[in-house]
Amino acid sequence: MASADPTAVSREPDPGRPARYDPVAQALHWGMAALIIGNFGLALYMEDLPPVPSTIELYNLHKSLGLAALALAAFRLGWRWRHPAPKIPDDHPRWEKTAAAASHYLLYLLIFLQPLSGLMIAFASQYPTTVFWAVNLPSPIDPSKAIESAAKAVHYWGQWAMAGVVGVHVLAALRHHFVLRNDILKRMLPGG
Amino acid sequence: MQAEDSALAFTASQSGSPVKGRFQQFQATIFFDPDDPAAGSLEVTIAMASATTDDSSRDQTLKGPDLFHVEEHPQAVFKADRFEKAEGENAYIAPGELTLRGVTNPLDLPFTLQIEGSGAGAIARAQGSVSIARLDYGVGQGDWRDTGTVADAVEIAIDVTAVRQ
Repeated sequence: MASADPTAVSREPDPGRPARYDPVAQALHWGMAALIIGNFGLALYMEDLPPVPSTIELYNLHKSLGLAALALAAFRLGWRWRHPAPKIPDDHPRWEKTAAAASHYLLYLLIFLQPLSGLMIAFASQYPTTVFWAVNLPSPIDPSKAIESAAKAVHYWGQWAMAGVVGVHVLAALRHHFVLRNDILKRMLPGG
Repeated sequence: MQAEDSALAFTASQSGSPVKGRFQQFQATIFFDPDDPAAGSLEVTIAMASATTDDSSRDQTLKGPDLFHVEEHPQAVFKADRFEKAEGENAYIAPGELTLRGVTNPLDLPFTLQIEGSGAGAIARAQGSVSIARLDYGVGQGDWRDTGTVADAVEIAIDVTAVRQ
């Protein structure tokens, strides 16, 4: 898992660094995983639907789930700041620690970039955004095709960057669990 | 009619938010005498394919078979063969018929009229708005019959400037 300083060497258990992720961090991790993968699937599905009212409602659902992901990402960043992640055991090679740190920084970047670029599309487009069938999101900016298409490009490439990094993340976790047979994955599982 | 000073706009409601559009091409022929409104007449012809909501994919949907169906019904026409004085200064009604997507329904268009100058060259500006139910005209077939996302009521606003010939 990501450590603020992946090259630090310490033989002693760090009193400030737990051995496992706390339950809140675990709930955020798995909840956001389900939300993000679900919203990605919804996006791939709704893209090819005919432009009818039910499709508009699916787009609104996609935007609503994205806003929920953004709120959770912000909360998660705050939680992580106050509750440090467990340290990567020292017996892991240095390249693994560096790769883990890099991919986790990337994941944190992407869980903000995807909803924020989606939000920019919503703000710049001509379409109203209804959040969870309840309220319409006011836009702080005037409709702009330039901003809309720039945000769309970021959102498009961001989804594949996210898919790629999540793929690496999942494969790495499975490798730790089934090939290297260590406790890296268990630290993120309830009950461990 | 002075095309550059005239506008024909519509406002639909999607998820409770207004969606504004306009027709970029339409023509109006107006005969109007303030002293004898009943002798006047009005005919507005609208090129449906000139509709825009400033979003090309939405415009494409709007002109498609389930909504305007511009291929089959390229024109909409509003016709009134008289005017009536309404309550209020410069207020009138054009009791007429709107033909839209091949369906004709009676429609009373209220408007106010400002006239500047007199005789040939006098400039008249008519402004008015009216709400129509899109489904009365079949604008909304198949899935678009649903009014939960895009409401049945559509506001139409005219702002026409004409020069007396």
